[in-house]
Amino acid sequence: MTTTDKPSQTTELQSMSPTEPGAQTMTLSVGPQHSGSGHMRLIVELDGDIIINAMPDPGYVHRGIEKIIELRNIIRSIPVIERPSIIDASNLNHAWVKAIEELQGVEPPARGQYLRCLLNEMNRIMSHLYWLSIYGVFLGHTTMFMWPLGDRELFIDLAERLTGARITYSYLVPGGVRRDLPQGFAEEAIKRTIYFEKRLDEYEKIFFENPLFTSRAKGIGTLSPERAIALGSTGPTLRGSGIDRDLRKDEPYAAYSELDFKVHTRPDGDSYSRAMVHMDEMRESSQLIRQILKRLPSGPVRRKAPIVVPRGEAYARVESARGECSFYMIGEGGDKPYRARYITGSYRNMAAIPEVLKGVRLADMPTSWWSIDYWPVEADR
Amino acid sequence: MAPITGKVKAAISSWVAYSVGLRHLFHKPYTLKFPQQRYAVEAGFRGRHLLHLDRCTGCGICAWICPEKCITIVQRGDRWFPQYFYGRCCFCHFCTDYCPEFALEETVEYDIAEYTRELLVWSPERLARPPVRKEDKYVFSVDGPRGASQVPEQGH
Repeated sequence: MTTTDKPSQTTELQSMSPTEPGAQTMTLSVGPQHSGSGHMRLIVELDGDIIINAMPDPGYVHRGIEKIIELRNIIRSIPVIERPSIIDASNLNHAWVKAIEELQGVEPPARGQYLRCLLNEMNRIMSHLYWLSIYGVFLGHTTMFMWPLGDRELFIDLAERLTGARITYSYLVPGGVRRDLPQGFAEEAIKRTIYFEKRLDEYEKIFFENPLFTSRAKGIGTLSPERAIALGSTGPTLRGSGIDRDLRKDEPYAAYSELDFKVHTRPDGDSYSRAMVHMDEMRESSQLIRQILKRLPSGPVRRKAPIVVPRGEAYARVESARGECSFYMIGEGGDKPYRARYITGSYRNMAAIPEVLKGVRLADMPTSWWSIDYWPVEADR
Repeated sequence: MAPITGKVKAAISSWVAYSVGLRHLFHKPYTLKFPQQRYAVEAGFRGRHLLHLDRCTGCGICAWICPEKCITIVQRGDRWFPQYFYGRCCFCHFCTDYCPEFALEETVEYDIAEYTRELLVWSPERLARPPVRKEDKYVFSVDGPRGASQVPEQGH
């Protein structure tokens, strides 16, 4: 913590100080302790308790994944691809296999495509529930911390039956998926989604309609549609500003073109809108799971695909829980890519953090910042 | 009049929130007192590996595909077998998938924590032991009258 009249020890903090002499602003470093989602730092400049400038300081959990995957064959890379966001592992894995399949010219069988969507939607719910529990604890609402983490077990348990693993599934491989649906899975999944939707009603009553939350979220941390587009926001952050953009609808991949679902948007662009988009998406994903299980075609789940990245370039993107996740891949005919560029939803949304925090009180910072669903590990990769 | 309506609405919403919370006061917990109460995983769970010594040819494909490089091929007489270091294993089971002789299998044994690093090295003989299922009997269910909770498995 420094003030402008007392020169700071750190050059980084000094650079954040206003230039005019005698200005009574304070620069505060928030983090880089683990704030519930990974190590990151926010450098905020305060006038009283109003944030006049905020700067994200990422990089504390950088792993060099783009370099690691240049050194491993495409199958060995799968567990690494999932690591940046283990709570949304399937969606990140999907972008990877989609890029490889594009280069190989392999089209997975229909059942495999549906099973990919099934795990993607389960992951979307799990990721949003994790986000919600951290949101609850940021606001001091301990019940909202406990409930979503508990209800996440509904889907973790289902994913465990489907894939054999609770979090990092490595389920999607080039050519399809690794396993077929186990016996009795569909009935159990339908039962659980119905139960989950009842729980979502309770979440609304205890948290989303609670004045404790609404008074700290409505009209706070606003991101206008124009600025959201200009800053390259994506996922629930963009949809929370009223922009109807979802890759599942706009550029349908896997089985999404055959499924009926709505893209949920909220017009206001404040913390409350972004939070409610997450809530609406959980409901939509829950009904999507039932729909996938009802329409699941029969047949094989996997087609033969070699462990080869053919010569050429490919770009694949999917709608992950936090927005657009993409891979740009260059192959040279070996079993590993020459280069793979990996961009995730959190990385794209990082630019919106200063915009959202401007003019917000320091006490409202967690509500505004976390409504973006910024996952530092996913952004740093 | 508007602020009063707002306050009344806020008061009602607060009480609704309290009542929803109170309703769950007697809900069974989601958590288990591990290791006294143990979670039972279903067949197909990617727990520790089971090695069929008679089928293994020691080809080393498992060691080649392993993302974490946790498999070493060791010699036993005139044959070769995989040895696992579970300190590195991420339980992706690509080794099981890629084994051409079906010599590897996933098991329901998940509690393999040890006190020393040396004990995390599983020799081929140790991998060939049948999986131990210690009193694992709790499963997650949404069928209970008070919602989702961990319940003892039927028929246990």
